[in-house]
Amino acid sequence: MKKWQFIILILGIIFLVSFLVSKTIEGTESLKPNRIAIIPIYGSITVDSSSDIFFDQAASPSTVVIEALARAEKDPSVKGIILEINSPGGTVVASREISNKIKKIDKPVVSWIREVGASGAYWIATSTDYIVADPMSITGSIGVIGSYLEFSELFEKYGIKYERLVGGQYKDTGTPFRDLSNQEKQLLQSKINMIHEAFINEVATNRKIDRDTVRELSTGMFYLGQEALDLGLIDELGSQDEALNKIKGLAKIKDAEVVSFQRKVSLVDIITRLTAYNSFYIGKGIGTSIFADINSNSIFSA
Amino acid sequence: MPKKVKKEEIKKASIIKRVLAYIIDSLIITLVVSYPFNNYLKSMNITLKFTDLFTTKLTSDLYIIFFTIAILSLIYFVALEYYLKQTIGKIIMRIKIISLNKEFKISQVIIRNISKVVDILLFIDVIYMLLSPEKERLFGKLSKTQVIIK
Repeated sequence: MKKWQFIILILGIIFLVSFLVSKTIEGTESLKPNRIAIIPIYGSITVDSSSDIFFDQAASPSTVVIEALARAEKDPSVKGIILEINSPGGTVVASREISNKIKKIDKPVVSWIREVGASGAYWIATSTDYIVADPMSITGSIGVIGSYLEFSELFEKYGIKYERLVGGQYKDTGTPFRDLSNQEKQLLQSKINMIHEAFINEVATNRKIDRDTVRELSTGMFYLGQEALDLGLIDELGSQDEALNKIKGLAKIKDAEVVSFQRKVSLVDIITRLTAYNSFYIGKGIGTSIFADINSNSIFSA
Repeated sequence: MPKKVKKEEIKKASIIKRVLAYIIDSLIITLVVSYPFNNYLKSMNITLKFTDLFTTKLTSDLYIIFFTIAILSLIYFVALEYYLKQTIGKIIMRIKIISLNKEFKISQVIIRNISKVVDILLFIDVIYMLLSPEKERLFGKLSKTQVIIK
């Protein structure tokens, strides 16, 4: 047999065996492991996916969480999902996006609240099948905040004037450069009330608690885990073990491998972020020294 | 009467040629052996490392994959080096293996290639090669084979 004929024969046999083994594994259910996916929700919940992955790892963009949920949903070996929550909340839209995704998943999902699972994070937790929290976890805070700093009096003090040029009387409502009118205050408050009402409805529906009872609890007050259990806001006191036992029970499996579905940070991500931060701080340094120079000419001195 | 090979005709292959040959062979093995498992491992959200055998509780499917890849990779090297004295990488780099014994046994080829399917052994092999004066791999030396320019 010629040399290249022999090589092709060997490669062909090897590929065939590899292919057959892979197909056998894919087709044999008893060989595939049961897995439980743990998806973290840490820090602020936002829609912005450009969260700082190096210097600030405590942020949960909704796109990232939804992508992890989608992967866990699609993976046939994943029989259940645990959301590991340590978040004070975030934006309404981001919380709703994650919550809506959880509701569409046809696998059991359990929330495991660690130090904090409040506001938007609690909203998300109520969408899951079961909530486990530590007796000292901070949860609840069923409320909405839209407060902001308003600088009109500071500007007046320094002779800075806000020139209002708008098309549409409410176009600059909420700008920090002028005071809100009573009408505008009422308008913004009505929006916040609508969001608050939506939050109350979600909790009442998801937790199967009477709406009026939820409304009484929705003062924005946070509750410790023990209190939340007594009020029906969570299901069990415990930690990861309790969450795992529950998810295995819901998924009707005995053993499972626990796998983190955290977003993998690549070396390129880290290098890109480091470069961006270096550039930012160089610019900041230059800006600060120029500003200091201007300041020395007493433009802002009292 | 077999022709006596004069000592000065045997020229050892340089480290660069041997490394390049290995890289070419590794790419071929990735394509032929590992690629069929790619979809399955991707769907399971897994990247396999040899050290997982010792550090992670693996499930039966992963053990099967590990050992299949290892054995088929070894077959590639052993079959081609035993019958042809060259793998595809060595053919491209115009190098081949010879036995330092009178006979050329299959056990020699297995010994010299065992480190190519076990990461830790390959690491030891490479360190030995870099530190030894003859610049030979440990398992190459143990198998009493040598890589020369064809």
